[in-house]
Amino acid sequence: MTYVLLFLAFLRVGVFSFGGGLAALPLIEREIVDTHHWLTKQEFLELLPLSQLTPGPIAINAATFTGFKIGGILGAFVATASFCFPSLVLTLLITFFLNHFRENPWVARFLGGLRPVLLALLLRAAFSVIRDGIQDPFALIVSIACGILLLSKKVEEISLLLVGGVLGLLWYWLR
Amino acid sequence: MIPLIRKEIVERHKLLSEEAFLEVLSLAQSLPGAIAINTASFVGLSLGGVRTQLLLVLATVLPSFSSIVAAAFVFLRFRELPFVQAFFRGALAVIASLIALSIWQIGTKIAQDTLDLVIAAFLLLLLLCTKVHPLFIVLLGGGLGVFLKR
Repeated sequence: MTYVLLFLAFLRVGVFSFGGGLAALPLIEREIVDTHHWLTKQEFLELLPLSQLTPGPIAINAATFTGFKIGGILGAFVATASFCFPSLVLTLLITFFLNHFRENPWVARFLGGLRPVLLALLLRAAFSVIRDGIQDPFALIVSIACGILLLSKKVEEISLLLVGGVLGLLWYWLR
Repeated sequence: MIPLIRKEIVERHKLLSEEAFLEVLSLAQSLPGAIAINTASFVGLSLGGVRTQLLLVLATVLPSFSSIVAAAFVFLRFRELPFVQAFFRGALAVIASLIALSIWQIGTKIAQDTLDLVIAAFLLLLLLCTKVHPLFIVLLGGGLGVFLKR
């Protein structure tokens, strides 16, 4: 039964996650924290840096991690495969039957309508992370400083995550 | 990840022309799911059909699959340790900045479009104040696009 639930949950995420991994976070959080309680909110928040620090897309990593926690290697496989399944089917349909998919006016308008959706989903994700993840002035300062560095495009994401982690170690643990 | 794929496909193995790759990439970005997976899937299909598609997608997923399984194995045992908690609290602050950066990027793109901003505010309100599943927000926003855009 768990495997069926994993399959359905990550199928839903796979079908509706437009616009990159971060915008998919509200969808993922809803499925694995709110609906199924597979991860606590705290575990979900820890999963985010873990997913960004390991190679691969964040949604795939979230699927594999959750599947593994709930159902071992088989669970990890089921969750990951069900997330990828819609991609396989859609790309297949488009390649062989819908060559002019994007020129279709309905599709173009639907995709245009997703721009405000992405903004709303990202703001929702930010709300979730900030409310339960940024709980003291130190985290806020790290966050703002890293935001400025990212905007200036001078640093890589992954090194910044490591720096944030090390600063966390120094401040929360060694202090 | 995308620059890596481009390097392998276009420069190293010359499987697709630069132009064809950009076409594939922009299609991959407009579909749901991970962009890297969509790209791998399209490239596989254009090179040799369904078997190549499955092979390339498997090859794309396998490294992240094995590394996250290994990471999860370790992490689930040691996540309670204070120094692990401290590290992840610090790293999570950086995740907040990454999300803020994405908000900035898409926000500046649609800042001139009042209709888009109004719809975004409405959808955010739904997400924060009701229990509606985010997938309906996607459908609702896309549906509004179909009826309101021209």
